[in-house]
Amino acid sequence: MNISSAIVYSRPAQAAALRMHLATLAGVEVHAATEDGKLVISIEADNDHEAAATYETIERLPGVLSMALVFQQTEPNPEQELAPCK
Amino acid sequence: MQVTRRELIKANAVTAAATVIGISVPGAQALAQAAPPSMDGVRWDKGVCRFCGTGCGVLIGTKDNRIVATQGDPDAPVNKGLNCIKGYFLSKIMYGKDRLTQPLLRMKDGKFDKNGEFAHVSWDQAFDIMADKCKAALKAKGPRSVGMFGSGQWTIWEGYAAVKLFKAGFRSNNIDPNARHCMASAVAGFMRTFAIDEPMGCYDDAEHADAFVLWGANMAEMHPILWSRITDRRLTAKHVKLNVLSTFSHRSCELADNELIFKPQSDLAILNYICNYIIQSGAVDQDFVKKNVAFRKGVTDIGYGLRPNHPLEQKATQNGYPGADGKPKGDPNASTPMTFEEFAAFVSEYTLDKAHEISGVPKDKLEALAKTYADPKTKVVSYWTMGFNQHTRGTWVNNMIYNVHLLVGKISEPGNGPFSLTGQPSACGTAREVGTFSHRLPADMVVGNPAHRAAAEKIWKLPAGTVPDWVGLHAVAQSRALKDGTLNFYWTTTTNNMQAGPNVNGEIWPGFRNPANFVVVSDAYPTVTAMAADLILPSAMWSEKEGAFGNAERRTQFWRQQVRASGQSKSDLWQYIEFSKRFKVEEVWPADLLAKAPELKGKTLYDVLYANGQVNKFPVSEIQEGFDNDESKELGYYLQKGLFEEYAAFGRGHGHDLAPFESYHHARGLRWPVVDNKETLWRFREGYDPYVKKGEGVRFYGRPDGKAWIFALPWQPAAEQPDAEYDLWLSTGRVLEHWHTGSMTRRVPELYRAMPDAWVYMNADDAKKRGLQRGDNVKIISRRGEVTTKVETRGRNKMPPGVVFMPFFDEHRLVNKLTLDATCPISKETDFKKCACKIVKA
Repeated sequence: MNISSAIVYSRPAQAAALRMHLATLAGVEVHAATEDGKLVISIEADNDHEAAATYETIERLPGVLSMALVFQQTEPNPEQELAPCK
Repeated sequence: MQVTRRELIKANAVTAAATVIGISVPGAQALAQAAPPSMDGVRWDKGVCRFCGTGCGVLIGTKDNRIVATQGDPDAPVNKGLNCIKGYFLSKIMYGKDRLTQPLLRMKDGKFDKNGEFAHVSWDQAFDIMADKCKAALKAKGPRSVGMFGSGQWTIWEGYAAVKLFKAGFRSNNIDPNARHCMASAVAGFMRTFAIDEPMGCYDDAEHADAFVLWGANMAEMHPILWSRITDRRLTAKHVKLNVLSTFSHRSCELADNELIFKPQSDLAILNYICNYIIQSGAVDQDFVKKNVAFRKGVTDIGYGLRPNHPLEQKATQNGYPGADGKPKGDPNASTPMTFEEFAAFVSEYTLDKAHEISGVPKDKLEALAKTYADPKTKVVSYWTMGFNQHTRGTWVNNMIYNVHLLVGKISEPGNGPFSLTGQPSACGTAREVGTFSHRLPADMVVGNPAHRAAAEKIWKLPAGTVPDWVGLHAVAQSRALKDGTLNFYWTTTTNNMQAGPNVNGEIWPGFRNPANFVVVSDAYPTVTAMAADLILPSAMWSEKEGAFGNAERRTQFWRQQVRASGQSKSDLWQYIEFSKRFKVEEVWPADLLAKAPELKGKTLYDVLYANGQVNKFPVSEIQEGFDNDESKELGYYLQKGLFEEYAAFGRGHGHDLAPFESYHHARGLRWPVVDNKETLWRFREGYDPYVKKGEGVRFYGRPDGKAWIFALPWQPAAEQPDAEYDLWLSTGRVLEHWHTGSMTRRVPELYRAMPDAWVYMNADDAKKRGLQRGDNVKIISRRGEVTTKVETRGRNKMPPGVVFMPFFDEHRLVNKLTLDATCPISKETDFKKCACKIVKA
């Protein structure tokens, strides 16, 4: 699977509507937002194909001025448990 | 607490994103901090994005000799932790299913045959036939019959090694980069106005400007990360205004306060109008102009860079081509001094009415733009890319934007400046700074200047007269010479000219397949160029080698080799070095030259150029422990360091100072000149630039008198304009998802699906008039060929009547079969933005 995070720059007036729109997209989660319209989102997708399609969909949503990816990783064993941490 | 890989990766991802915009997401941050970075077995190291000229820093995550993750580098000043969608796929460009892994030669009955089928050969066999063909060409016709086409995607040391091999080794200046198609006009513009190349400002301008002007640059799609910096500035500082000039409406226009859609070629008239407005309204910064500027009148009957037998060239009197008497017809680059008053009189005819009439832009929009530049309280940055550069008057239009900034003194200070963007990751660092153009040497020196040749020969420890004094073939001239059978051994590398070059059918394809020529293509993938070659060499790419790029703001950046190359692929650098071992000096140099340096007798070009006591002087022990460096380990010395340090000798102390090699493995890039380990953000300005002395204020030190030149140049029509039969303007360009010809991005299935085919964008009424609907199959026909595709009347690009746009990434629909190989006669850069076509139902 592919796990990524991005920042979405939205028109502040449309930010609230955009958040609702984003909530309907599979694998997308909004983690934080700023007053000037920046949203921190994560995208989880079964494969890279879907991740990119989701990215594309968001980029074209009304109210989105631009979008920037921050982190992405492809992980073949997502449910593997790591050693316990403190 | 048990944590899955998925939870940890997500926590890392969210934390990284939140950190970039300076907010906190406590849960994710706690989880990310609790797990040590090594927990998921990924090694992280800094790198540079492989794609555009922005030069974003990326952190590269490697596991089991494979890149598995990337992150926008939060410590990189360019992108401050952000990447665009192309950065998203950086970790995948090396893993396309059709990656080339072994040399391929056209063969029939076990032997090379120009009409044979591609068959696998060993590197030895590949170099054998290459050396045979190269030696045969040199023997039959001399150094002018061999050449190389490289790119702004060369790493700095690849470009440097290639220049040495051709200009000093084979003694041929027929080496040129694809950057000729991309920013040669920017180079010529800088050299004519400032006599020194590359922007004076830097990306930091974006956070200081009060107004932005985009001239023929769709930054939202082509430079998304710089665009996010502009978006940020525009949204956080409410007074900031954005002006976008284009021949059609695109994504960048969505944020524009002033959108100016102008008729193709009329940018020249708009720029002269702005100068006229500044003068008429009394906004000239008189003190600045008096002290720092000289005025020139450029020659104007310069032709269009077409073949000499074209009627337009036969008519032109100052195109530099041989005339009836065999002597060159003038010099398109010539100019004569004039006064400010004469310049003012020259631009006075470009009134608001005239600018409106030529450009079609509403008068209030033109005036608002002119006021932005004229208002002394508004700091303005102008950005441009291919709209200016790919222009038969590309050098002029670059000169003319400098005219505007110089008249009002808005230059070389935070938030004020003209800024030429680049499209390739090392168009500046390699193509320009290393001097891989057919007329250039490192550090802005040129082959036509005897003192410059002597300087190069001294640094290279070669006898006087090694570097030839003639200007080699530029990109378009190379294609023509291949077709004409005068350029017979040709090596193209890190580029895809059969797709990206102009007039593919008329000029490029016939040259590749001309039986007189042997064509070698080095690439990682079977591009259309590779498939047209005689020999294909599989290249290592990006982080499969140690590399260095230089971005558009003079920032030099390094990365280490992260993984081993796939199959038998080898870096382009290794290829040049190994090939040089196949030539004895006696085989390529005339006896009289060799007589000047008898100690070189019996040596190979490798000994002379690379094992010269300079390039080979640093031990492999200096390579960072834990990282591969395949070329160096094979050769037994730190090759990249040796090449870089020898190259840096050209510019140190001459305004192009580079830092010591190691500095770049530590820093997130440094902007030259780097003096006393300090980078330079704004050149030509006291307090920022170490080359400007105390009390000088501003000094354009490219010229001994410290002055920049303002040029009086007119509006002139394009080489080919729509007429009754070919009734539409055709413009070509890029889209967000694909980078240039798509040879890397089209290997990534996700990007391919997002934008699978290049459609032609067309005005809805234009379509209706031709009985067409969105999605219809159409034929686009120009005087040079035709291409079938589908018509798009909606979507991201909104076309005005009379103009259509088609991207060039799609190798199944080569729009460059249609384009005209007309160039700026000064810069020799092709105009890919303007030719005439018609569209009919297929």
